[in-house]
Amino acid sequence: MTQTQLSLDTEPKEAADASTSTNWERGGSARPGNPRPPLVGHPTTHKVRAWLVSKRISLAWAVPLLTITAIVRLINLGGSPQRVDDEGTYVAQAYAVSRLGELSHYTYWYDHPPLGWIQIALWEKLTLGFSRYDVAVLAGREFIVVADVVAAAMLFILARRLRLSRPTAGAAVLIFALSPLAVQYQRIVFLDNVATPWLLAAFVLALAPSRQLAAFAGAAICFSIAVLSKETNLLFLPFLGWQMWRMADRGTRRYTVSMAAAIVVVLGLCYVLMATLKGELVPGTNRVSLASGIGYQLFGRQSSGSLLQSGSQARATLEHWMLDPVILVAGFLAALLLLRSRRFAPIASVIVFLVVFALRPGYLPVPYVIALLPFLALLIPAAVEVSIKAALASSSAVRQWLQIAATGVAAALAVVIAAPMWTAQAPGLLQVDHDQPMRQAEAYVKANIGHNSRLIVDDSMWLDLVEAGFQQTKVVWYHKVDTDPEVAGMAPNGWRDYDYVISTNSIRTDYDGAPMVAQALSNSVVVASFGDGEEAVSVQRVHPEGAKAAEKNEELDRLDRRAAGKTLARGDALLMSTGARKLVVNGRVDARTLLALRRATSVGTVTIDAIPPTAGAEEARRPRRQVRVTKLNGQLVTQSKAMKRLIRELEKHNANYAPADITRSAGGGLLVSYTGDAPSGLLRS
Amino acid sequence: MFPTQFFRAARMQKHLTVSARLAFRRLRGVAAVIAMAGAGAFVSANPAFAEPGNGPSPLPENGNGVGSSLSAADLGSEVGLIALVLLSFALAAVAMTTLAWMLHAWRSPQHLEATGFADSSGKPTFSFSLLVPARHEEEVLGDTIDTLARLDHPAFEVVPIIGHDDPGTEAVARAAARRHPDLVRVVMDHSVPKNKPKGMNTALPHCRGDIVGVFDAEDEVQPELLRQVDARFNATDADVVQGGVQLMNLQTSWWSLRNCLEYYFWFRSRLHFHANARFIPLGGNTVFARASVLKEVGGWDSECLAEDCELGVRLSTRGAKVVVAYDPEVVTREETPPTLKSLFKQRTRWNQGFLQVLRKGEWRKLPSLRQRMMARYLLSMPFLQAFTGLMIPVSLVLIWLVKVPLAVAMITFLPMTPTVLTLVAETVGLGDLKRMYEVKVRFRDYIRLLLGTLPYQVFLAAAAVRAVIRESRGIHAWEKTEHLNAHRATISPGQPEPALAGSKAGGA
Repeated sequence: MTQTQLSLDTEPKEAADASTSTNWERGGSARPGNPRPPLVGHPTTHKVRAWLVSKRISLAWAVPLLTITAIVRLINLGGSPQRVDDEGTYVAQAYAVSRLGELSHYTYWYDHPPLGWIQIALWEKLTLGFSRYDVAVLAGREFIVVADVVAAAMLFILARRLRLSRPTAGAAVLIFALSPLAVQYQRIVFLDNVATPWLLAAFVLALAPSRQLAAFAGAAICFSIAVLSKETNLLFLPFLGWQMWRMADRGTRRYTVSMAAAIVVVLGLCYVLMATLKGELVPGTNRVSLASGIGYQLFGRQSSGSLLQSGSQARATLEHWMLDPVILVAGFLAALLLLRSRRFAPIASVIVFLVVFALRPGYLPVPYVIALLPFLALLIPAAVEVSIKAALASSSAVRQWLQIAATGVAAALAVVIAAPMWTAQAPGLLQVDHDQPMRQAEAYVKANIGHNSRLIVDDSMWLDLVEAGFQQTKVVWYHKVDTDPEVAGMAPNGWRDYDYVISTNSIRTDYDGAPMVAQALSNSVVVASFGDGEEAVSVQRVHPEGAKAAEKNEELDRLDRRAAGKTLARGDALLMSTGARKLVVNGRVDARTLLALRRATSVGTVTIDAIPPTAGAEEARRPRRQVRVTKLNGQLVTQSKAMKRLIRELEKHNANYAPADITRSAGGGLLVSYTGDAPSGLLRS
Repeated sequence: MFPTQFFRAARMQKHLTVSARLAFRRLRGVAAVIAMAGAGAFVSANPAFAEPGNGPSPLPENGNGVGSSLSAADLGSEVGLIALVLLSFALAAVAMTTLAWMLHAWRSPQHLEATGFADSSGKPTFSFSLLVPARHEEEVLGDTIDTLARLDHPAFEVVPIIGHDDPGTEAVARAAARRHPDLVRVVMDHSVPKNKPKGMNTALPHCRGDIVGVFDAEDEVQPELLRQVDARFNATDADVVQGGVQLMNLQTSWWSLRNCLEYYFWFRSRLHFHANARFIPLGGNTVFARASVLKEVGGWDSECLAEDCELGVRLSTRGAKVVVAYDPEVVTREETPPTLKSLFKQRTRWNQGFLQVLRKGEWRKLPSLRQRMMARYLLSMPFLQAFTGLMIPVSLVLIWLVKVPLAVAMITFLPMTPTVLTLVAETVGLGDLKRMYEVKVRFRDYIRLLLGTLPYQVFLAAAAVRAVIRESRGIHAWEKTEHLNAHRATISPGQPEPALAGSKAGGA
């Protein structure tokens, strides 16, 4: 029977009653003789308030958990883990979309669909992230935390739609929020993290009990966005389809499911359309193409070897994931257990499928685990609840107790194993600043290297350096040195055209066999080094004459410095402490500093009280290049006119030894500093 | 046996053999496919689509990008781009709302159930007067009246309305009246010039039944219909019950297939949406209204080309309760117009009628703003369609000849999304028809459906343009749609054989 709509003018009384009744009355069951007033025709604020009231218990569970999710990720967001190259790439591409109107800071070559970093760019445009952070990648990580909170909310709703109790749903979100594996990987700007909330939203909508045409269309749209953010989510398609088909009402099924499928196809074709409009659909001479991008991802990647083989890349990836083995193992076991349950079959199957798929020989990307995490977190408490409910439903009391006991023991075991592991990881995630070497290296580069230099960098630094004023075409992402014809065209002499390489963990472990980068690394000398072990970041100066010749020159320079230092120390125009003297005579003082001191001593007696080291350069055993001068001719330098004259002389002298900086030092005196390295053979000329 | 008047070109080759005509049609189809493939190749190869600078774009200088192409262009080109974007969004929005209304019945199982007939148990309460306006319908009228006479209901009368200048049809009607003396009463319409609403208004005072129903002269009515309608009136206390009409000749041609699908979605789904929204353009067929209500509002508007829509608007304005019910068992079966030209005239008339109702302004009296916006939108559909029809080639030309930024080029493809989705929905609908009515639907009918999408859209847009032109020139002559009884499959014993389709050249 066709219902007529209620209209405002026919039932004003009921509306008034509804607003005066208490929240408790409205939220509770309808009293006899006074049915709950319908909401059609009420203003929106009423509807929102009514919804909030009806969901108050769920909100009471969810909101604190979402807050925990956010807080655990926001503490030490910039410090742990250290920035990886991928993050810089995606953030730089978001910058290109947001500020430059391009799809990528280099030629977009269809390795991933662009919607992931377009979302980051939209967020940045709204919040002006790049102007709020010194480190550009942090602007991206901020968006990722937002995506994580949305994903956690979706996870809660998904659990509720699967008819799990609120404690179980809360447990799922808690595992998702606190597992170290989740916390670490969900801080990194991976495209998978951008896609996860959309993927979960698609499952949530596919489970809609009513209004399925709109809900399934929404699920299709969310899923398409997830796939267009990270294409590996296509693996979820059959399982999402299965879920939809199971939930669909039989009468409308033909239309709801076919519309959803059509939407997925059409939105997926948008990507193809974009490539077509750019004229880059099929491979051709001298251009990138969608076909070759897809081909690279499917076939061109180096195989990671087998997970089961120790020493393979895949094994190393697995070890990265061992931050939290409990969630992986317990989740997988829960999935196996729930395969037979009708409610959970699609989700359990997708987990089992993805695990089996990871065992195949082929490329195993490190972020592969991210898509699994919410579903693992969901199924662990779900398995417990299903098992307990099945136990309670079974007839035999003995079986009941056995099953409940078994479930309890398993759950307790998991908690007992997980708790110490998780707490052990906490300081590393929440306190230690793993990114400091990178920031220090960036600061070093900004202070000591000319903005026209040609640098090979990790992409996580690229944007910071470009924003600091380095020339965009001269700061080169290491991945592009060999592979991009434009970039290669600007360096006709190959690696010799580059001045510096900034070596990070990403470059050292993953330069995909790029010969030019390898050569630049081996033919360079470390001029500043920060951090140690895997986190070490070193600034290396490339010597076009080759490693051997560079070594010889360095040795010659050291001998020169020693000689010049000895000469200076023998004269009595230079008064210094014993420590400073030792540095000077051992050739541990920079050539330009020595020249400046020589010039100064020709004016009068110079008293220096320290030759402080500079961060990074000291770790690399470079000669020190700062000196603190306290007196000239017995007068305090801050008051001496002669000093002023000397300073002016030094400043307008030969660029090779004009100091970069002369500042008043806190301990009294003037700090004369040089940046970068002295040119080779300066003392000989 | 080929109905030669169905295809003008085929008619011109009357002297050719059947196989030659078939070959000609096949060649035409192949040529269309090749043209579309060529267009696609052109689109993908044309450098006009590439961003400035084909091939790998140079490392972007700070602040330069795709936007640089706009900075060089003049203001006119900027305005043009914005207009293009807005137009694309508007077209897409129109198409999406049409799709959403089209799929109204399948929004949820409750909607699906609500669009069916309730069960028709219960005693018949009302009496019916069934109006059958007929003009030059000698071939079909006799069968229709006989079918109506067989309706299973205790209290009804059939009232054929014949023009005084139409002796042929009058003779058929009187013969039918002689066959069923208690049920059939012929009413003569002496008005000049003649049209359907005038005839119905003439007959209205003569109606003795509680409920007045309207049928077309070529309808094939199912016997249980009146009982169902009666039960519906009882159950919902409605003022108007709109029954379902279904065109049956899917196989005749590519456009008849689409026409049948249109009717399916209209009566199965979209009409219910309008009933829910309290603004419904009624159909002129299988519609039942309480006689008291009709007499109160003064019957039909004799000046309007879409008198059924006009009546629906007027009744909606007065807050009348309209109920729509669709059941494959009792739906009225009809046929499409015989030629594309006659379909064209029919569509022009309907579109013009909508515009007339829009101009008349009765809808302004609708109570809520939402209903008025809906009315305005619905009644302007022909005008919007005309506009979009004209703009589609313009925007295509713009895309192909003018360099536009990538984002704008992608937005211009936005209207294709609802088109593709509508096509998918129509494919599912075709499956529905096959199941519900047990008509044969072969694979090539699906191909016809696919290939006919764009031509049919162009065709409808052309009809809309013609309607706008005629309305603006004030041409209101009634172009009648003729019918040839092609949908009647069975020949009941004792009845004159229905005219073979095509034996009388019905004219273009």
